[in-house]
Amino acid sequence: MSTTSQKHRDFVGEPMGDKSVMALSGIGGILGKKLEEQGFDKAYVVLGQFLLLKKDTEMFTDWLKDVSGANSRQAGSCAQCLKEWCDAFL
Amino acid sequence: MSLSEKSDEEISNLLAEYGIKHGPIVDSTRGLYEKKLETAMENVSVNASPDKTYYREEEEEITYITYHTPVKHESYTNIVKRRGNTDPDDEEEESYQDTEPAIQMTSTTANHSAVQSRKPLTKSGGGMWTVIRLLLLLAVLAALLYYVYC
Repeated sequence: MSTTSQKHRDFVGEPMGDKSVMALSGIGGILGKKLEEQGFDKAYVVLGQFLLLKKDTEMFTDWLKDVSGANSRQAGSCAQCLKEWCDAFL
Repeated sequence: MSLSEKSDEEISNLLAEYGIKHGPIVDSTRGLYEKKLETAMENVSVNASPDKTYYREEEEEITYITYHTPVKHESYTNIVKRRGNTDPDDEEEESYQDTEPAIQMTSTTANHSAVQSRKPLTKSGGGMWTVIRLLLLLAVLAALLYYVYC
């Protein structure tokens, strides 16, 4: 748990509700903007995509890199964040 | 064959064919799955190219086994073994009567295209053997003359 960032812990610790996509771990200002342009303006929409990909972190990482230009670290962090959130709340 | 022209169901079938686990094919997931399929197709074609299409028929092993030869008329059996895919005959046996020196020949394995087809002499005879025969006859005659005149 010590390797996760504060942002990660903040997100995974509670239901995401209406949080912005930038609340996701690994998603900063630039990536967030790109996602919003694609229509993924809320965290739960990205969650929807994650669920569509059957919660496969590898697939999701590939998708995220493709759609937003995220690098491996950022995409991996976001995937892990969503996975843990699902484990806790879904 | 363009992936983007295929139906969602066809994409789904293709993904299953390549062993790619996938979710529903919808607008947001389709692009990703198409890319996955393209990569998978490229990998398959790369792996399939080094097919073993070379033939084994090139390998031939020819063993000559010759002959212990007492000088006077005896029949030699020359066994030629040839193993190869192109040649259905396994053994050829030829026997010919001749006074010939003992010649030992080693087995030769010819790989690939270098097929050493040294066939044993038929009864019609080769040039070399007649020369050797003549020499032997001359030697015998010389010995006889030697004994006569000594």
